Amino acid sequence: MSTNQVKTSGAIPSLWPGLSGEDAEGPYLEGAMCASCGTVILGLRSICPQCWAQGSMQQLKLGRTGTVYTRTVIHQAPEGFEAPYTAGMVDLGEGIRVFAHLEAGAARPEIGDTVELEIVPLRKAKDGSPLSGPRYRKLN
Amino acid sequence: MTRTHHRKVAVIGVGLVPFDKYDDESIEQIARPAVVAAMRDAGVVREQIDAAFVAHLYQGEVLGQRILKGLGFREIPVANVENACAGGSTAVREAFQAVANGQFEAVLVVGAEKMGRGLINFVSPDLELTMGNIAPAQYAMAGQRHMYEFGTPLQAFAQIAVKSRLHASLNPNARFRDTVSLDEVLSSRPIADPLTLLQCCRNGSGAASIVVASEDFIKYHCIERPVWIVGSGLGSWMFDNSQQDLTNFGATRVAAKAAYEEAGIGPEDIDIVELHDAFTVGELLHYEGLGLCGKGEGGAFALSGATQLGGRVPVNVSGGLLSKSHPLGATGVAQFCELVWQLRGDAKGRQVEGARIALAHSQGGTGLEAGATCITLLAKAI
Repeated sequence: MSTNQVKTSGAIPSLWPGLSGEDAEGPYLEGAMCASCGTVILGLRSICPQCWAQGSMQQLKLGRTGTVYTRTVIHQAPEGFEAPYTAGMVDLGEGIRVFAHLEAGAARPEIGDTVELEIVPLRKAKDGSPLSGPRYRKLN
Repeated sequence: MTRTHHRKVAVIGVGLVPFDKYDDESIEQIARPAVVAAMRDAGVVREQIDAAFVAHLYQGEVLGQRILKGLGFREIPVANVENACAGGSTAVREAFQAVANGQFEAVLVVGAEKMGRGLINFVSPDLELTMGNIAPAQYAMAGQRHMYEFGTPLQAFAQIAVKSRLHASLNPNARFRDTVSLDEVLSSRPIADPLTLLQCCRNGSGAASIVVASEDFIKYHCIERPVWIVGSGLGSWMFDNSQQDLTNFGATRVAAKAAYEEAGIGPEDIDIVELHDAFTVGELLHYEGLGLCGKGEGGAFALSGATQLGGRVPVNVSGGLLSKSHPLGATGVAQFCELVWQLRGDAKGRQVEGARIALAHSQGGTGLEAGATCITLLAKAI
C-alpha cells in the first residue's frame, strides 16, 4: 500500500453504512463467515442464509483483492453519480462476487485482471455531500 | 414433483391499449379500454367472469379494484400481482393455474402501468443499485462476459435492434416504427457499453387484458378459436453475491424447463416467440436460455436471420419492448395479445405463416440479485 495514499476516504461517510472498513493492512469489505457451516457472506446477518443458525455469523474482513469477472462503462448516470463511470463484478477469493466500481481510463482493469480494493468517493447523497464506496484497481 | 392432471385452459379474448405516452389520463382510464376490448373479443359478459388478476408495479394500492369498479364489476375476487417486469406474465400464470385447478371457469387478466421519464426509482434499492448498478449496466455486464467468453461481436447485439424496428414497421400497434440501420444503432448515444440508446427499451404507459377460460366453459358457450395454454414456468433468481454464470441469464432456463416439460415439447417445436427484450443483450442471452440455439451461439443466431420474420423462429414480431416501449406491468400481458393474434392467423402484414405453437417470456427484478422469469407456451390446437 502506497505510503502517500490520501486518507480522505476516512472522513467521507460510506454510501452503505457497514459496507467497508480499514485497518493496518488497508481497506476491506465487511463480511461474515458462519461458524456452523462455513458459508461466507457480504455484510452481516443474524441468521446464516445457508444453515439458518442464529448467532453463528462471525465477522470476516474480505475483498481486499479479487479478479474481474465482467465490467462496463456507464454513460447515463443515475441520480448521485457522474457519467461516465466504470464498474464491474469482482470475484473474491472467499468465493463470493461483488459489484464495485473500477478505476477508469488507461489503468482500467480488464476481465481476468487481479485487482485490489480502495475506498474512494463514488457518489453524492441527496444533499450533494460525497459518499464513499468500493473501487478496485489493477494489482501490479 | 410431477403435476397432477388438470383441466385444459385457453385464452379466449385479448385487448390492447397500445403503449405510448398517456400523460393526461389516469391509470384507470388507460386500462379500462383494454378490459372492454378483451371481453368483447372473448364474447363474454361481466357476469361470466369469476375472478381477476391484475399486474402493475407502481400504480398504488388495489389497482385491480380501482380499474374494475369503473366497469361495473362488484364482488369477484381480485388479486393484484407484482413480480417486477414479469408481473403481467405472472398474473396470466395465476389465472391459468386457478382455472386449470378447477377454481374458476373464466378469469380476467389485466396488466397496466403509467410511467414518467427517466430511470426507474426502485422502492427498495439494494446495495448494488445504491452503488449505481442500474438495469442497463446489469445487462451490459452480462453482454460483456458473453463477448469475453464467446467472441460475440457488437453487431450481433445491434442487429437485434435493427430487427425490432423492422418488425415494428409492420405492426400498427408498435410505438417506434421507423426502421434503423446497424450503423445507426451502433452510433446512437452510449448508455452502458456495449449498449447504445437504440438497444435499450423506453418507458411507456399502456395496458393489456386477456380472458382465460376452461375447456368446459369454451364448449358450453361455443367459443371459437381458443388458444390453449399448454405449459407454464416461473423461475426466480435470488443470488446473494454468488459466483454464477452471468451468460446464463436470469431464471430463463429454469422457467423454460418447467414449461417445456409440462407441455411435452421442446424449443425445436416453437414457431414464434415474444420475449423480454428490455435490452438487446437480454434477447441474445434469452435465445440460449430458451434453447433456441446452443450455449455461446447467441451471436451467430442473432446474425443469421433465424429470428426475423421469414426465419425459422421469428422473435418479437410485435417489435418487442425495444419498439413498443415498456409499461412494466402491462408488457407481459401484451405479449399474449400478439401471440393470440398470430396463432389465430389475424396478424395482418406481419403474419408468421402456419404458426401453431408460441412461447411468451418475460423477466424482471431489482437487478442481478433478485427477480423472476415467467414463460408460457401457447398452442393453436391440442
